[in-house]
Amino acid sequence: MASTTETKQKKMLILKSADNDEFEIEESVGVQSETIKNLVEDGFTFVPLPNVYTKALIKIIDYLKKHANKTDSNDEEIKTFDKDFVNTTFDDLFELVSAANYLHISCLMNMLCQTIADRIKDKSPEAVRKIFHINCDYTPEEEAKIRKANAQAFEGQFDESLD
Amino acid sequence: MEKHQCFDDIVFEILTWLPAKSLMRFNSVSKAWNTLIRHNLNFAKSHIARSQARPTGSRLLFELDVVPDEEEYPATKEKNRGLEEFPLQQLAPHHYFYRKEMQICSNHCNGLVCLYSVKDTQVYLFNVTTGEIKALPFSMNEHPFCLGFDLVTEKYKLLHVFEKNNEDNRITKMRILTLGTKYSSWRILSMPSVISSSRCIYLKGVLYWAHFSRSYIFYFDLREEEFGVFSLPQEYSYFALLNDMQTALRGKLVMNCFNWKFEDTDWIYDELKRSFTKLKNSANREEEMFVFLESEKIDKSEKAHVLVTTPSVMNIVRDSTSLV
Repeated sequence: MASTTETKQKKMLILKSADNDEFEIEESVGVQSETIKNLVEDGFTFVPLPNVYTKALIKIIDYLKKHANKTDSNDEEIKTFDKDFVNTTFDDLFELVSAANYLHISCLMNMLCQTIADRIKDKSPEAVRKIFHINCDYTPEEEAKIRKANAQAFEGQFDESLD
Repeated sequence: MEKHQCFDDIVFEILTWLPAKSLMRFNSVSKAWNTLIRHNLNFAKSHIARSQARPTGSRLLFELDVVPDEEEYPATKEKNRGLEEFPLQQLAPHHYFYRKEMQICSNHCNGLVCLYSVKDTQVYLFNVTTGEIKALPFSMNEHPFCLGFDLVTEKYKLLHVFEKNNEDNRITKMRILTLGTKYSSWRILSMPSVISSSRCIYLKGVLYWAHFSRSYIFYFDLREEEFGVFSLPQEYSYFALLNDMQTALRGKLVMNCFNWKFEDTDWIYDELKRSFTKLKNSANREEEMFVFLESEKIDKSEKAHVLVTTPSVMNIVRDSTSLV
């Protein structure tokens, strides 16, 4: 269907998500991912991604396309795109960071990790637990002890919100 | 969730981007997080590397010993609480010390500094960012230390200048101790006669000293454990003063060099090319301090006794001071 003259000139790849959706992208776009690059170098043009779900994959392809055409002139545009890209819920960010980690896209990985870190740095441990879906495995006594030992880090008010 | 199977790696990555103070708080999130933050040496290394690469995250400005009035800081009444216990203790809740009781007795290095207790002559290692404090296994007279980090073995090393009575003469000597190794002991160094215990700067595995009326900068390579010298820029070679703040700010050795007429300019030393470049528009000090304070939002006092430092993670402190 997409076999225009353009696609004949450019090498294309097919990415298959964990929920079996297929996406056709230019090879030059895909190889920003180390994982995809390695497969391409081994001669693959069909890349199954069993750890990446469609929802995250669509966003990541968007990101890769945007960043593949990076020039000096669209620097601002990319910054705006990135800002918008990370403006989402924690669960979406975790989904994206897992995908970026699996795909080995280091610039995206750094951006996502930094975003998450910035958003949790002033939060309380309780809020962090909820955000990361972690069950506290300390007994109340243990927790009290560890808090006491780090008392200086508990000065002031913390952000209890989950967004 | 199966999609979170490699989530441990991701948590590791995310937490390396956090300030040390947040990490101290997140110890209490879960046992796994506590293990990662406090006991994983790779994590500490990644965190330090990350912190030093970030423009705003890499430096902290702290005041240590400005305590004008006891009433004002009731917290300091607890000042001795944390000091008696071995090993690590938090000093709660502020980084205040009475100058008469506790003094800074070394340069800063990776966010650590040595403190000297006047009362019992005990020397402590203090993590300025986190407030952790640890007694070193010796007490000492009032002479200051130089604290450095060997980038290859990843060990902290202490240099100590001391005076020794030799029949009628007093001779000055220098010795070195590697922290965090089981059987380390002080070793006497042969040192250039002019190096005194005066203020030094640590930067990237090397300690630097400047001395009045010397047209050289002296340095000590913490890996090779050897001294060396290099000359000041030709036109300004009377003597130099090292600029602690600018050095921390730029990650390059910055010094204020004087000529014979006492005219001065700021220079940046490139340790790889072994060359100087003139520092353009040296910012005024107040502005610099303001930048520091803004970037880290910490308490400021009017007359800040400042210490520029990089945030370091606590387990580096612990591991490198696990002296037996």
